Amino acid sequence: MVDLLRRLTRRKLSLVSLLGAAFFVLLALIGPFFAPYGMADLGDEALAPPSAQHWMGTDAVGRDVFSRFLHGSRVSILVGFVAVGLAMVVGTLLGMVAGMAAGRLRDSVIMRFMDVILSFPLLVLVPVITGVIGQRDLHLGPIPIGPEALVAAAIGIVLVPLFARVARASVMAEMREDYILAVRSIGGRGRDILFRNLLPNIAAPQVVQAAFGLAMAVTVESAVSFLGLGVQPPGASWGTMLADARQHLLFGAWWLVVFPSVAIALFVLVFNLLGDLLRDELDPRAKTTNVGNGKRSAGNGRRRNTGETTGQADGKVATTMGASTR
Amino acid sequence: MSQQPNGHQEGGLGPADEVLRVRGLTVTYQSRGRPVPAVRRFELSVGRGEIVGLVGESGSGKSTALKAILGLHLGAETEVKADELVLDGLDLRSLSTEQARRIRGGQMSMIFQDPINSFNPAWTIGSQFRRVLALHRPDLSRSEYDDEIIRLLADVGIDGRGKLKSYPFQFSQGQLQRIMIAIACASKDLKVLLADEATTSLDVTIEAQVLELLRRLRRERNLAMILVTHDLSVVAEMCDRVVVMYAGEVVEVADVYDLFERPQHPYTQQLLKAIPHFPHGGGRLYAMRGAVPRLDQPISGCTFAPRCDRHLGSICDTVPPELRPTANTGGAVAACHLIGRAEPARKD
Repeated sequence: MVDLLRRLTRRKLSLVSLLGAAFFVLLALIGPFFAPYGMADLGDEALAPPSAQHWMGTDAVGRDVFSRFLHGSRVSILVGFVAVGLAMVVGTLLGMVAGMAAGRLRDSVIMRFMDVILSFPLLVLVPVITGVIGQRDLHLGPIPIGPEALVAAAIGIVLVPLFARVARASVMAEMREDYILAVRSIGGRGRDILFRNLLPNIAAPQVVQAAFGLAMAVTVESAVSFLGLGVQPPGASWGTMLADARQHLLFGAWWLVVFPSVAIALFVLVFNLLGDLLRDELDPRAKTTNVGNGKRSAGNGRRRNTGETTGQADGKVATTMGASTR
Repeated sequence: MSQQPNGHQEGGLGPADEVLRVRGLTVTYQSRGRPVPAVRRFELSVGRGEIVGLVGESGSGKSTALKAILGLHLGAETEVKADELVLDGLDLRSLSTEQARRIRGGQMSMIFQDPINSFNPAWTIGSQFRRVLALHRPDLSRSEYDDEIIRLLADVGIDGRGKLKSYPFQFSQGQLQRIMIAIACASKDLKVLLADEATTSLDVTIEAQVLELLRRLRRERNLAMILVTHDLSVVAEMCDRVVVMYAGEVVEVADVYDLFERPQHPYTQQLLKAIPHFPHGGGRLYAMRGAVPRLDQPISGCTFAPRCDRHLGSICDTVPPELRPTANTGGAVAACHLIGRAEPARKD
């Protein structure tokens, strides 16, 4: 882990993306404590441009945009992390089980279910899930499930196939490796194979996928909230802020649009970059070839990869992964 | 080693103290929707402390048969059937998945051709070894594991002190092969060790060390072994008895001396003829004509018929030969129409 951090900070681009990721995490964790006003506090002046008093101006009903931005960032980023966390755990497990049973009924059932999820466009499925479930007041034990948690869960469900497919593919490749045969020949249990032998060897692509998934989750959350189907007012997220800003753009209220938009763009950029760099650094086979003069060619490969995939947050990573690991 | 002139049951050798018995083993793969019978009518019998060689060309089904014995085939695409699969009186076919798992590494282990890839690159040697002890050595407590590992490693000639925290890539291939043998032999109940081309990837000096190690294990623990190899010199050096496979079938079983001195099956004869002898006259080396038949197409008659130098005519092309006792002792058998004919099989 320390070694990985050291390698990631060695290059300027990866240092920037790491710092960016850290910034967004901090923003979500402690940002709201720095808010000068309450999220829904009405000020005296509506649609005021940025000033010393209101760093990002005020909105149509006079709320401080900076305060709303800090609160909204927490929601957007948290939704992203929760969704990806959920999708990663569920997807990886399902994918691994499917991969171990490749060709058998269990595999078919799991993967066809993933296909069903994949067959709906993201922006359709998430509102449907939140819309159908969100009509009633939900409680998880004593804790009420807010619309934010619901959106996170819905995005999580939609992202499950992303992880399941990559996990299945990696597991199927690993299952053919001699060490899996060796583990089985020595009487290894199913859980030995699954968690001790397969998981560490397929973890790297999953982590990479998580970085891309984060960018995707935040985009989806913003889009869904923008459409009014995700986080509900008066709650703030980058998406709802953009939705509020829409009507006032024509009147020149640029400050309503710029800050959330830039935040979304930067978030996606930072996590896509991070995903790319992690992919290069976590490739277990690259580690051994990095010794000696392998370093230079690996560096070249990195630069080219970054160019190719920056800004892509879709499942294509899986195929490039496969090609670069062999 | 057992020499029992007439003690064998029909169709196979019956060593005095039989520990593993396989009869009628069939392994069928599905390849592009078509069944490929990779192993057919496989027979094998191993006595306690006996080393049996399993030889044949690449693709003759040696490794497939070995994996089937240990129950390593999985997936919907491989079908394993056997009339008898008995390990020391225990019918392996009747076991539950969990019971079969306990057998693997407990009473029967396997070592593989490629020691480097047989270890999980993500864990240290010590950690991988400890897992095996946790599975098969209930007599030990956790605190005793490391001492036992050091002892087992010392047994195979490796000083494990301070090396348990090393990763597989920090060892040489020969060391890893010996560590793998130590792991395979960690169980106290081990009866049969299956070696799948265990020395093929090693250089000759290391190979000699590993073979010596296997021989010592046999001597000290009375282990039975099946050595799968295509190296006949290893067979000559190590084995008591030899099973020759061709295109998924057993074609000849014989005592190692008989096999080299009086091979009965034409395939064995041609195989031995193909070994270059030095010095030789400077002429062309003998090469068997033709190639191993495709197994995804039905074969009528003897599988070896198209390449056989002693083809008898239509009987070879239409009737599959059964395994029949040969002139060799020890219950030797061969699957050839020449066996038992009025004109006895002569030595080439």
